[in-house]
Amino acid sequence: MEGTILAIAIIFPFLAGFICLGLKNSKARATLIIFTSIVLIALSILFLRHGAFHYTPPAEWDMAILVLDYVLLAYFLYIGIADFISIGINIRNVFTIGLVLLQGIFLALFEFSWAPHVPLEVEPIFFVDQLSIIMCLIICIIGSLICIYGIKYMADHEKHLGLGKTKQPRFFFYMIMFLGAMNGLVFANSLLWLCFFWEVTTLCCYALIRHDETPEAIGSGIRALWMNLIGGAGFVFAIIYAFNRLGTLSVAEIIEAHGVPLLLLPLAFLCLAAFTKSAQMPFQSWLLGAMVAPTPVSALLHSSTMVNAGVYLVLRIAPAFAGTALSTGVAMFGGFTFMTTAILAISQTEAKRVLAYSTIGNLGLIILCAGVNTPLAITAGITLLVFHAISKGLLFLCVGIIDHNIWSKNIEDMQGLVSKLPLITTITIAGIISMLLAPFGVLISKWAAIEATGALASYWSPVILALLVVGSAATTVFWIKWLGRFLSQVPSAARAKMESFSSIYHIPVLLLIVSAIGLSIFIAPFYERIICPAVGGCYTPVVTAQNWFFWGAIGCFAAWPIFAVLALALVVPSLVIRMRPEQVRPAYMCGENVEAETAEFRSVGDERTPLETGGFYLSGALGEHNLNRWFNPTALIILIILFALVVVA
Amino acid sequence: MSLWQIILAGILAIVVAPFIGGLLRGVDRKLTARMQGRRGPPIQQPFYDVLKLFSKQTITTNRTQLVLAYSYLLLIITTLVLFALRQDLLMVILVLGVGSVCLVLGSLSVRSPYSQFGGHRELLQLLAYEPILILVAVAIYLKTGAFFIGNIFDQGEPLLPSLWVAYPALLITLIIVMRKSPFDISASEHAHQEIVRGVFTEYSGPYLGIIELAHWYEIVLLLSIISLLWVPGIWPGVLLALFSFFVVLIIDNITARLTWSWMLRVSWFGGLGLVILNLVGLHFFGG
Repeated sequence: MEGTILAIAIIFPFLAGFICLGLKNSKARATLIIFTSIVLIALSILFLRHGAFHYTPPAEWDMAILVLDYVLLAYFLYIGIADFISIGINIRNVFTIGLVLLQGIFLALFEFSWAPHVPLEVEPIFFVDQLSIIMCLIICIIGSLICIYGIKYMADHEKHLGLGKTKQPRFFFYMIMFLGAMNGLVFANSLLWLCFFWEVTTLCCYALIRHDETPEAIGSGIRALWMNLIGGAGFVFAIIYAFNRLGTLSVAEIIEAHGVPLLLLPLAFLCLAAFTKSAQMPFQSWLLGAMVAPTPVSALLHSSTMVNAGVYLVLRIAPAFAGTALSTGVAMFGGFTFMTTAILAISQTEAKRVLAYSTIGNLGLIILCAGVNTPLAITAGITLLVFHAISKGLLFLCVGIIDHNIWSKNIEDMQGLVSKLPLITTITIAGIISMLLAPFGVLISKWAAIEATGALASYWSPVILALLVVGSAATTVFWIKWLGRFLSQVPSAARAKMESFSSIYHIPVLLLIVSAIGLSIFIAPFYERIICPAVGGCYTPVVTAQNWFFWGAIGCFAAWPIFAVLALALVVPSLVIRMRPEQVRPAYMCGENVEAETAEFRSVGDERTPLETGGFYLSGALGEHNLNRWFNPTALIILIILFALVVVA
Repeated sequence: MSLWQIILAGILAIVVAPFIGGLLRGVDRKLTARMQGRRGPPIQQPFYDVLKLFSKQTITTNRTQLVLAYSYLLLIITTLVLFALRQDLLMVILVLGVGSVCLVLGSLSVRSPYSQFGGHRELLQLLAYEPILILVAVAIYLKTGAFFIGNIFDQGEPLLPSLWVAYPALLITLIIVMRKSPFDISASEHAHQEIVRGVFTEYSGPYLGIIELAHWYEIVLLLSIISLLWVPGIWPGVLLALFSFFVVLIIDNITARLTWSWMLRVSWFGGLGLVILNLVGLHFFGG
């Protein structure tokens, strides 16, 4: 039974992906995608009901993984060389080739010469616990919804591009295979297997970013590849050092070896791998470049699942470095990313880039929580992981739908959209609110993170806190600015007309927004059933859910009373307040208005002048050009200090 | 807390607070007038103003704006009730943020250049003061061992002697929230006699009254947070709050409005810096 569900979770998506590759008929492909999605969703719930277990597949699989790993590296090498041949010497192909060789040579040295057996066997190979089950739920449920959404999105996308020959079989091959690779990644206990699935996600990421094959897409794809290969190299070094010092490659045993000082270096390498996967500063540019990919890719890989693999790894190994200098360094690094990305997001005009920065920032916040490393902080981190995955996946899907209605992702073009596309705009607004306002899940996690960092007995805690609170305030600014664009309308008493409902677009987003709001309202039972057992794996849970409040060790968030007030404050007035047409007046424009419902006024010489309004972007003071000069080197320095601390310790 | 205490706290927060807030606004106008060599209106003038606003006809540009004015008021009242019930201070500050956001969105919902400017600048004000408030809550936690406001009352000794470094930062916060010079960048106060008042430009009549009422609650909340620095005993805290209020009035009258970037610099590098210094001190010396 246990072997079977693991096999279905990992191998079935690979098989379904390969079948997709051969299916030219779009109806058949859609059926297969929906079938796979239903199987995966059912399976993830089965995992939840089954609970923790571990499992080791027959030994032949070890050999298969070993071979496949080198096949994958050879393919990466081929990509680097092919790029070298097509554009000549360039930083991107030099890095790709160099990093693949570095990784391949060291991995081969380790596996064939230093290790006692070929292949090296680890017991158990798979370790399923509550934390990995949470990740599996995110991957299977949110991932499946995104794939279903992708059916219509890709059809519209190709129609808009005027593509003669469809590329969808390949697209869905990677999308669905990716789900299997992610399941493998979160359940793997052997570092070798983990490393293999890690590289498969890198491959999917590369292939999906370059899917449109424009020069920009190809460039972004290779950048994502080589930056993730830095992480891959980190992984290989982590494997070598961990085996050298502990004689094991089992993640569970590494976590239990807490307190072995020599262990810090492999842990730091694993953190490096995680930082690149989660696109933390200074590696953020690959995720921003990845925004050229079709929106379902951004939703699936770059917000709700693949980038979460990095923070999942840090959360997983956090117990092993609790109380060390590495832990403080990790917290500082995450906090720095959180603050800087929130400030950089203020100057962005493109919706997907704002979402990308916000994603990097929230992952930074989770890394900060893992670095603070107290039970309250870990609770905050895991809660944020779940709520962020739901809300951010949702927001990407919303931006995709808006894009396919107005054919623009620019926030300025979304001005007054609430009266043009009321349904999707309302869902987007609700999604943004679930990312930023109390008492939604994301903010409760932030609250817990602040209290946990405040309680951290370290001289660095005030600095980490400052990064956290400034980042948090900047987050409010960029979200609210965007909301303001949606709401900004020309005075009118007319009621907005609903746009047409498309089930394959709107049902996934509706399901996601309902779960974001529902889980926030019912956070107490959700915490008790799902989050608490995950924290309880390595820590003593401190949060209780008495009275359905969220009680931390040192504070209490009365979530549902505030929800009641919020409903009273937002929903009731919007139902009760009526407005008569004669009460409507035009806005003040410091000139005579032309007519009530046009945005024009009479200026010099009685000429009709159209009103133009826009958001603040402060791109002079807070633009990427200005700030990245400081942010990137600082992030690099923090990273170097982190390693220096570990080596000294 | 017993049921009676809860009811009493509720009444204090919902019914008594606006009277205090309105009176403070009256005192503010009187004192400011005197500092400027004018006679000034009677102290009860703000109540007359708001009553008159409520008796006016509703004129608006869209419905969203009206909804958000109510949301702003209700959320600010909620923060004060939570405060009176001695709940988690950090939660109170975060809910205050939600309230302020409603005001901003209300002004951004109209395509009016002045209202848009005001809304964006109000956001920058939020960016300037919210981090300070949160860090002050953490400083209070470090001294009392919990984020509950109740714990501060049980603590037995005043906080100001160990939090005096953070106190000027709280003053900056108070100036920004009251929109007083030099940080009155989103809308100016009465003393500056502006007709187009940034974030309030598109509000009129009863809804402007609602916003003014919410602002009274907001002032009382901020002053209550300041008064926490000197409990037990009600009066020392109240006196400290009134003193802070008076200092803000003086600063308002001797300075001129500055730019948003200057405000961010002062509040982040000055205000936030002071609170961080205070936090580091608390970590090293334990108070």
